[in-house]
Amino acid sequence: MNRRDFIKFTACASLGSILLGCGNQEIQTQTGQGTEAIKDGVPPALTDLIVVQGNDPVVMLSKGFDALGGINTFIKQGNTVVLKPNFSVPRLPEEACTTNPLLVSSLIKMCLQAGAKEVKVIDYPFTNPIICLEKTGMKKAVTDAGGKIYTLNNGMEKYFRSVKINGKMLGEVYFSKDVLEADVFINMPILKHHDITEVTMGLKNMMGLVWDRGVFHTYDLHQCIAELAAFKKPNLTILDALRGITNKGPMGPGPIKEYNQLVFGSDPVAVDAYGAFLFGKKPMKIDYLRMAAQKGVGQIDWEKLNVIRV
Amino acid sequence: MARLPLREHPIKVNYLLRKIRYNWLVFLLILLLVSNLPLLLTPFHLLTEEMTRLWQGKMPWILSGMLLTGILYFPRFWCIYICPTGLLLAAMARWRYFRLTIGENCVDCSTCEKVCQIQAMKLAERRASEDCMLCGRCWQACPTKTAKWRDTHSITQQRSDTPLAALSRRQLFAIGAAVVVGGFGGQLLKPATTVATIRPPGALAENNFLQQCSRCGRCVKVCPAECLFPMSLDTGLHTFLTPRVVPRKARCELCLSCQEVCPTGAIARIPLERVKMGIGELIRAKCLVWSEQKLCLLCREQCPVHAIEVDEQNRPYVNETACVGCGACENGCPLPEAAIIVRPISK
Repeated sequence: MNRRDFIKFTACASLGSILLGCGNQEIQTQTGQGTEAIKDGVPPALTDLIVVQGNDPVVMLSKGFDALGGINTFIKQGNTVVLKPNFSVPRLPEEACTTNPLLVSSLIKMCLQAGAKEVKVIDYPFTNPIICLEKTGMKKAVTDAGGKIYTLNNGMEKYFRSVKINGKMLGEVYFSKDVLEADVFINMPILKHHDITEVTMGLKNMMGLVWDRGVFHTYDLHQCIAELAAFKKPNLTILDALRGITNKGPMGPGPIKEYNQLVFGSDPVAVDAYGAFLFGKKPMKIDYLRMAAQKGVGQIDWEKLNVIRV
Repeated sequence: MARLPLREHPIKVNYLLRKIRYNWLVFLLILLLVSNLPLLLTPFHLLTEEMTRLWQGKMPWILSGMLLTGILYFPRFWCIYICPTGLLLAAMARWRYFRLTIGENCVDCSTCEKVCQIQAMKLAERRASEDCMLCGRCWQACPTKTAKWRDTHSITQQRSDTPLAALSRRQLFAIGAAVVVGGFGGQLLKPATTVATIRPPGALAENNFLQQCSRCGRCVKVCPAECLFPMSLDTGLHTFLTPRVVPRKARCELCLSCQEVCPTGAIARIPLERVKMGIGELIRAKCLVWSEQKLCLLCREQCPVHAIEVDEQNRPYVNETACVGCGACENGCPLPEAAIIVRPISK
């Protein structure tokens, strides 16, 4: 490389990085204000709340997507799909503390059939990630279905990027790169008891996408969850309300209740509000839901949505 | 190959080391009564231990030292002067009936002495000393083919001394001194205050544990949670390389794999219900819930045995009977300095 080449290269590289920086800023400010950066092929928010009753998660999943207008409304050819189930604790699938692996695997198959380029399944377990991957049955289910599964533990640089939340409590957090860069992001929480927030569903599950989530507890946990919900809305939330523990959560094991339902919705607050109702709590009594609703993230009065029961 | 300077004149060092090596063996044997650290010097433990260190990305310094002396000085330096196993075998080989001996056709060319890597062949004595490892180099190299495997009675120039008679009065005193020093030295290795250490689940009471643990490092290697760490020298030689749980780095997942691999029973195979590694101690002055009324309760969320309970104001406290001391709470505490710390139980 001679001097002239070097100068040319440097100029191009700096110009490139400046342009790259501009793009990032734009996305960050957009999402920071709670409006989604809409890319091509990403579906618009739906005002429907789909509740599927049944016993077989595979059948229920396809029924739910049929009611939503088919999986192709969400997933386009060549999309990168990120699923965020909850496999945060080292419990067996039958202990009902983690998202049903069968549900995740069948969704992966559906996504791939719909033309998705890649389906990534991620979580950031707060217990040992290797044990969680094995014990929850998630690793086997995902790999067999053709998806990619990994945990975000020990990978701050690799998996996270600093983003501006611009909230009252949260300024900047390290948020999952995979989710930020995904074409479609589907949140797949389980409905179960939680010692601290009484019940955990979609919004609480989003904490698993934040590297420095420990500080949430040192500020105001509910406020932080609400601010995080305002920062990033999933394209779709599928709430696993098949079975879940009603006490001793999130770690379990605990007493299990069978709801035999799957809840689909683009409005994360409405899905969680319905989940809270199912769990036997008033949505307004769950602080983070109320706060998120006040911030305009979604409709807490789920009955106002077009509820379709299948 | 060019010889390194140290290898040129090993005779003096050799002479000195040879004089004290059985005293060293006795010292090690005495030390065994108070600590099983000498076992670390034996090939089996050394290898497993040093492999573990390599596995953890640490410097295997004993092995490196061994190889270095081998290269600089002469091979088998470790086996002949340091290793308790080697010394014991050599001591017993004094009674060896068959040895490599030099027969009558010898021309005193001293080839056998030169080829012997460990200077075990003694031309003057017409036979190999007890160090001989039967490598057969002298046998092969002897130009007159007279260095051979024979019973020692065929040697014309008989040694008058039997093994015990070989010990002079001075040596006997030296051994006695080693016994005393070893005994006291072992006591000195025990620090005045015991360090608060969380041991793996199922570990025996501290003193018994230290006696039983062979520092093989298998538990450290097998632990899927990576919560076990070999102790450093700072806490004393007697705890050196024994495994401890460091909850701030990782919590014990109570999988009990360490019990399965422990070869000595230092980590006893007990069921989960009987595991008690320690008890969590909540420091209320630091705790976010107690001191700042924050909604934290991460310790409660993390606890796998639900030992963190809350009072009527939703403030956490430790249920000491339920707590197993796995360190999940200490690990989970979001403060820079944990407000809940697992303390070992004084057994």
